[in-house]
Amino acid sequence: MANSNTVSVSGMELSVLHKKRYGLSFYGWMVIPAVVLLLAITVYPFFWMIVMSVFKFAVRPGAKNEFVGFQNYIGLFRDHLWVKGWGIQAKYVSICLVIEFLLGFAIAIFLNNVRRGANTLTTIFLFPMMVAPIAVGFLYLYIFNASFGWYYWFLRSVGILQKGSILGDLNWALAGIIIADIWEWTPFMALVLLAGLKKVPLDQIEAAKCDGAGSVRRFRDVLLPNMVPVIVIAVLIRFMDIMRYIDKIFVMTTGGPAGVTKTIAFYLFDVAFHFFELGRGAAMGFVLMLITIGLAIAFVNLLKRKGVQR
Amino acid sequence: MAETVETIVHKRSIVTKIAVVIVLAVWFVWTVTPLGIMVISSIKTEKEAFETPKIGDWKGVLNVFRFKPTGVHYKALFFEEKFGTYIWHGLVASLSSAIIAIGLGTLGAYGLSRGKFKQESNISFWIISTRMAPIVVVIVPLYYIFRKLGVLQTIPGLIIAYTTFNLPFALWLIKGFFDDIPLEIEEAAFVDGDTHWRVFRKITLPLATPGIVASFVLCVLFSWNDFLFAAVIGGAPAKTVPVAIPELQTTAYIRWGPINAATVILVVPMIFLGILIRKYLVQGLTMGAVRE
Repeated sequence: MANSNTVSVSGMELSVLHKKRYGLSFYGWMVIPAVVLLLAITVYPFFWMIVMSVFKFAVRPGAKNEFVGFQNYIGLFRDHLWVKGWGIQAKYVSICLVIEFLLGFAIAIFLNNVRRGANTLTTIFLFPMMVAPIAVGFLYLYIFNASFGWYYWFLRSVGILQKGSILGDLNWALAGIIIADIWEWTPFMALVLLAGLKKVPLDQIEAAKCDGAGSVRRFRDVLLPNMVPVIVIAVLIRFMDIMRYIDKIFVMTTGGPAGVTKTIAFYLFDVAFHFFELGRGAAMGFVLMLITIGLAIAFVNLLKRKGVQR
Repeated sequence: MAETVETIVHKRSIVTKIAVVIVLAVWFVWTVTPLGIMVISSIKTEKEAFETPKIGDWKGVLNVFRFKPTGVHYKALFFEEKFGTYIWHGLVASLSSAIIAIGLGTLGAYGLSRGKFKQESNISFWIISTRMAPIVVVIVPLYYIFRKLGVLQTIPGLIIAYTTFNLPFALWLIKGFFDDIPLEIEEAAFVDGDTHWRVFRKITLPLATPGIVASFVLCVLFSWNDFLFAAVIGGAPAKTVPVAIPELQTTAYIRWGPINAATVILVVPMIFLGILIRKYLVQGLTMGAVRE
């Protein structure tokens, strides 16, 4: 004990010495380059986004940008596509999250019950995560095709789909994108939840078994409470990523048909880089970011308060 | 590990066993089929690839495997289109960005892990919050700034753009790896009279190397797969594979053969990289919050 005490002092002394000689501790100097670069490429653009959001940008380069104050923000509430986009986004995000979570949890539990070959199987199951989102879009665009797509053929053969196409249909288009997202990201949920399952203390489960708790009760009272932190992280990360990415929509439907897959994130892309209304895009982006972060924080707090009894 | 198997199922009856096998088999088919169709279609002529059986004709499925492999689409990609160049662009941009992110990230992560700073919790929140910002949101101001700086549609611009998500990611993930290394090991070296830098180089860095390599691979994977930054910031002169694929569809006709071949080129190397760092994948994708 006494030995380790003197050791830490000598490390600290070195730090102090360093600070005296170079103005900043060694660790401080290590952090500086990364922090400076990060400031330049994240905080500076963020600052610009706020500035941009109060301007109306000239489409032609060289022409003068016009200061419009809060008009970009006020205009959002009059924009029915923006309001509608939130509805679509909410539907898309919530359906994806719920299905991916439930399926992922189920797969994790089943994988946890496999004795031989679980590792190989898990590795194969996580292939879709490595696939670029844009490639997932084309993959599904191809197999959903109404004249030669295999999924289309399958859905028709089974009788789920009667006629028409998948991505061109008003009722099916969003479902098609959701299916692609489920294919791509359920493995993420499964993998993370499996890691959580493996950490549930065995003695607690044994104890519950000895007390005669059935598998449902063991699941609800022992497994689930132990899993809460992992579940929060898995859902949170998936939530933020669904809000972030628009690649699949860009490839599969470009917001169509008749705008039923135009989520808020995709609408923003349209406004900024299709119509080149950068000011309006920035205002939308700022609101979208605040809402994403707000929802994420609210979710964490809610689950914290709901009580992990640990 | 072996004991954890019996977490849920009390006694493994034959019914449970069958249920497990069926569910996993279904999931296996669901996972692999789209990839299989893509790979097979990429080595078929378009005429062969478009021959799906009639609705309800289940036996016709077997005809999928009746074809003569052809490399036509791959040839088209490299000789008619300039996919060699696009692959090169993608490699240069993703590798450079990963090197910058991992280089600065490793130093910064070590500092953050070992040093004491007044604003530590604020710095942490800032780093993590970069992951919450929707990509489109980041792109709008970057586009404007890059246009002013004149790095729009250049490879260096693309490298900086990728670094906006790679650097915070690397910083945070590698910090987790350094946090795992016990301080006592370093303190023993300080007693021997080593300087800070030597302790870092000779003792801590080698211990964290596997994690740092995994972070590097993930950085490459994210940037290679990226579409939006490459499309908006990179544009035509710095075209990468994900940007080139959508351009294979013209208004009149979608060239499915080359698209499938290009998708294989885009996807297969990344799947191998994923398998390579399988051990660190959970930690990497949850920003270090969950470990296997």
